[in-house]
Amino acid sequence: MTTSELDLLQGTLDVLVLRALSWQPMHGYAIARFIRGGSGQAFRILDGALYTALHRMEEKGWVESEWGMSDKGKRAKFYSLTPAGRRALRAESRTWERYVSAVAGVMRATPETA
Amino acid sequence: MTHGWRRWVRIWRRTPEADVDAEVRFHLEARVEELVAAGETLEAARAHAVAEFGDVTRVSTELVAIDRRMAEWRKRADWWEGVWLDLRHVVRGLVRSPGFTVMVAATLALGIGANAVVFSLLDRLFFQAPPGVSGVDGLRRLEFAVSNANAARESYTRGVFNYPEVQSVSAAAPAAASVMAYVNDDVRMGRDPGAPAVTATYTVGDYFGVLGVRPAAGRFFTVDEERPSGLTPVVVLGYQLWMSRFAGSRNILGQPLQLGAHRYTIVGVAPEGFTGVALGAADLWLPFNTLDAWGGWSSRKADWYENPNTFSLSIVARVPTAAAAQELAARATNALQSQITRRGSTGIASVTSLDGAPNREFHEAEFSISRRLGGVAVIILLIACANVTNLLLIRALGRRRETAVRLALGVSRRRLAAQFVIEAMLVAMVGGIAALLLTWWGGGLLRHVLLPDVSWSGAAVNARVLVFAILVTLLAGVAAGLVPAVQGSNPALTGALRGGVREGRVTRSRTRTALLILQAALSVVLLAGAGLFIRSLRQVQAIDVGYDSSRIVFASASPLEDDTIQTSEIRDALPDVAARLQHVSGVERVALATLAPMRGFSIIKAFAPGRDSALEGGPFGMPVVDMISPGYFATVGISLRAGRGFSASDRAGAEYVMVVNETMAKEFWASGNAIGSCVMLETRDAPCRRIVGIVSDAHVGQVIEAPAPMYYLPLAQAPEDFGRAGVVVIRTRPELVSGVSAAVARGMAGSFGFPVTTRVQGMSATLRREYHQWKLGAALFSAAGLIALLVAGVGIYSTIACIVGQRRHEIGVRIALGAQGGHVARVVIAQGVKVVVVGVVIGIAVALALGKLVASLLYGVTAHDPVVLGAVAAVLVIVAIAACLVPAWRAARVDPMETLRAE
Repeated sequence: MTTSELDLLQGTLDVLVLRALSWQPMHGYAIARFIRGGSGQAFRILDGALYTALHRMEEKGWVESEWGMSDKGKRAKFYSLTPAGRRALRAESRTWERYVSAVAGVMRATPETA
Repeated sequence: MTHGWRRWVRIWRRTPEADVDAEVRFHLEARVEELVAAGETLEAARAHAVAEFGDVTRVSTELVAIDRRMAEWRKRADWWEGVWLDLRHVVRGLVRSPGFTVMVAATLALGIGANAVVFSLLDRLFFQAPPGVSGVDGLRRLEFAVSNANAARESYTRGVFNYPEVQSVSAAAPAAASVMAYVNDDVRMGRDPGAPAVTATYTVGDYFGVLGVRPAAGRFFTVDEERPSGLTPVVVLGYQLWMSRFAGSRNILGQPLQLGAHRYTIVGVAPEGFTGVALGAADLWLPFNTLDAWGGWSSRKADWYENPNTFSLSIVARVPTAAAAQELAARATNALQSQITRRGSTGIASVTSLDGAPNREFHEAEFSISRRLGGVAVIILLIACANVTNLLLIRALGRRRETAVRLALGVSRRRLAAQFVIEAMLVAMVGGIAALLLTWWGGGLLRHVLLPDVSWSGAAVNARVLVFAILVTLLAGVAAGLVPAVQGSNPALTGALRGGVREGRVTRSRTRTALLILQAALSVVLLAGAGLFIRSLRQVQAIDVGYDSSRIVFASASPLEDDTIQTSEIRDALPDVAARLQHVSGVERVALATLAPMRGFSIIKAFAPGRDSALEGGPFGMPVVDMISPGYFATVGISLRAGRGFSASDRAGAEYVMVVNETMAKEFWASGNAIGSCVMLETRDAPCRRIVGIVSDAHVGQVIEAPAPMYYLPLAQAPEDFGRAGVVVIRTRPELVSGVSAAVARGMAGSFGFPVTTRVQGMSATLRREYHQWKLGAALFSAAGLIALLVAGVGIYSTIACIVGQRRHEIGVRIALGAQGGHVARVVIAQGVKVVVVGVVIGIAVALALGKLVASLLYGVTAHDPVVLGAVAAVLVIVAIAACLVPAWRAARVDPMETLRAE
């Protein structure tokens, strides 16, 4: 991993996980791969933190889990979004987009001459 | 995925530890596999994967903690969901059978309601602090236990004191304690004799200060106004009186208020809710020095309040600590001791809390009845619970197919049991709500029937009663639901599925029989109580007091203002008034006496020749005396046994004569010797009064009293200080009493040269008050007995009806085989009666054992009165037969064709 690595902001991981699950139920490893791939390996996420986030969101009722079979025929725990999770994803995405555009706006702006 | 399915899955899962371990392992393995595929060595890939994951142990621990929390929460949620489902199931079941629900709820309402009503009564009488008083914990009431080593019967405890005692206790009290005293008396709200009477509390010392009460308007009494030697006619109004009479106006401060013959000045108003600390609510407060009843105002004797013979002041003290309270008691003991040593008795003062009603001795019978009502209420609740248990059991039995199916489907036994408890709880709650409504008016009713003159502040249902009712409801719910829960969820019921018989196996429940026996037995106890009280009332009413009380009317008059001259004039005029009343229509005879029969008595020492000391004996220590006009005996219905009565010739200056009653003649003279004997009055060397006649006994004071020796003197020959008539006694026909009373009152009012207050009353009316306690006991226990009987009857009916329902098939077969309908009916009835007879036998045994608890409230009948117990047994058997009639009729009409076809 030679690319510059970014530390993830607290809470952002949740949005990423929810986003990953918005396509289909996935097990933890698949989610990790999805985030890694989507970010072009830019984020340095400890996989442990990903699991903590998953379990916390399950406790909150945003995702639910069940055991199933992976593509390779192994027993794996699959997570899926609950309606509450879907609502949370919408809310968090909006917040995120506002944040991004705000940062971007500041970055593009030039100081006004007095 | 359905909810139910997920619940099954959860059972498959292992512990959260294993779960997390498997999840993490899968992740690491998958990552390693991928890295190896990308060309790394196994070791490097492993290290790489772990590095990407972070601290595996720490993360795993955290995940397990989260999962465990989640599992915990889910378990709780499932439990609540289960309860919710059960609740819905039960409610639907209850709504489907409204008859059952109403019956069970009504039964429990009676049981819970009876307890709440009695609790609300006992709470006020024994446990509740008087309202409106601040810092009740620091207040103590003084009691004094007097005992006499020589005569055990002279031992008693009193909560009332005379004024010198109050003074000495106040003087001896520790510095930290403050002492006050009070006495309640009625005053008229105005000069008019017909003006309504209100209750006044006369205060000694810093009454309001000790109680920590602040005026709502104006002020309370000053130290000067409280001085017993002074005379300061000031009044503090009660809040309620202020509102009802003066519309809460502040302008009344400083205004005059006429109370009876006296004029007071209004100086203040007591705060809302405060009605004093006596059992009866005070309407207003007056300084002790205006207390007319003790001669405080009218007699104008300087030391009237030193009178040691009037014990009616209650003492209340505020003490800062328990130690100070003990010190107060010790010092009061010393102070009071010095006042009684003269009489050779010893006494110990003690302090009690202010809670509960003071001066219970004035309401002894009513308090005794109240306490026993507590026991009665508990018995009613037991009967109700037994009945409801039975009904729920029957219901459980009716549902055993459903239960068996649910058990087979894997519903846990605990959950089934819970459903029965929930069912019982639910009906108990419905019953509890109904019970509160019952308490609302039943409690008020009981309060006023039992103790009408007690200050019943607040409604019958207050916070404490509410909490009590809720507790009793929960208790009743659990008690009634427990047995059905255990029996109804019994897996043995699955036999019902395999049995093949249409109604399932016929089960004869020992529990149900036992519950029926219990109900019958407890009903017997209550009914026996009712019977004993009714018999007592009959006995008391049958007592011959010695007068034709239904025919007698008393009339007396007193001046409007307490005036010795007018009092004297009235007495002088009374013989003329009596002579005129003779002509009132309906009046048969008129006589005069110093005291009306059973309205007080006098004692004059009497000496017989040959004896050194005065004649002693009878319930009053000495013979009692009344002075009467010649026609008195015939007027009141006392009959002459020997010799003669008085005539007009027994006048002053003629030979001194007297008449004695039979008891007196028997007690002091050998048979037949009384007539002609001499009796000297007041002193041994007084002139001889010769006994000329013997008359029948008559009661002196009360309906229930031992025969008292009594003698009569002609009014014309009465000793000085006694000699004048105080009351006119009129004889009429029983049905004319009220008409004659009114006519006499009119005739009397205008007979004097000045306005007077007249008192005219039929003798029956005064006696009626004495029967009150007996009537009360009879009425309350009868009501309880009837409730018990009703509940027990319902219990018998529903149980027998259920058994018949279960045995329809068997009965049908029997009838098909030739059994007669009448025979079937008899068998059914016999079954019910058998159970009840066992209950009756047990109940009678219990009633005999409990008899001594009510013995003190009975008269002329013992607790094991065979007539009462026999009647109770008969009533119960009759009720049992009546309750079995409908089920028996149904059994007799079972159509054999129908049952056989159903096979």
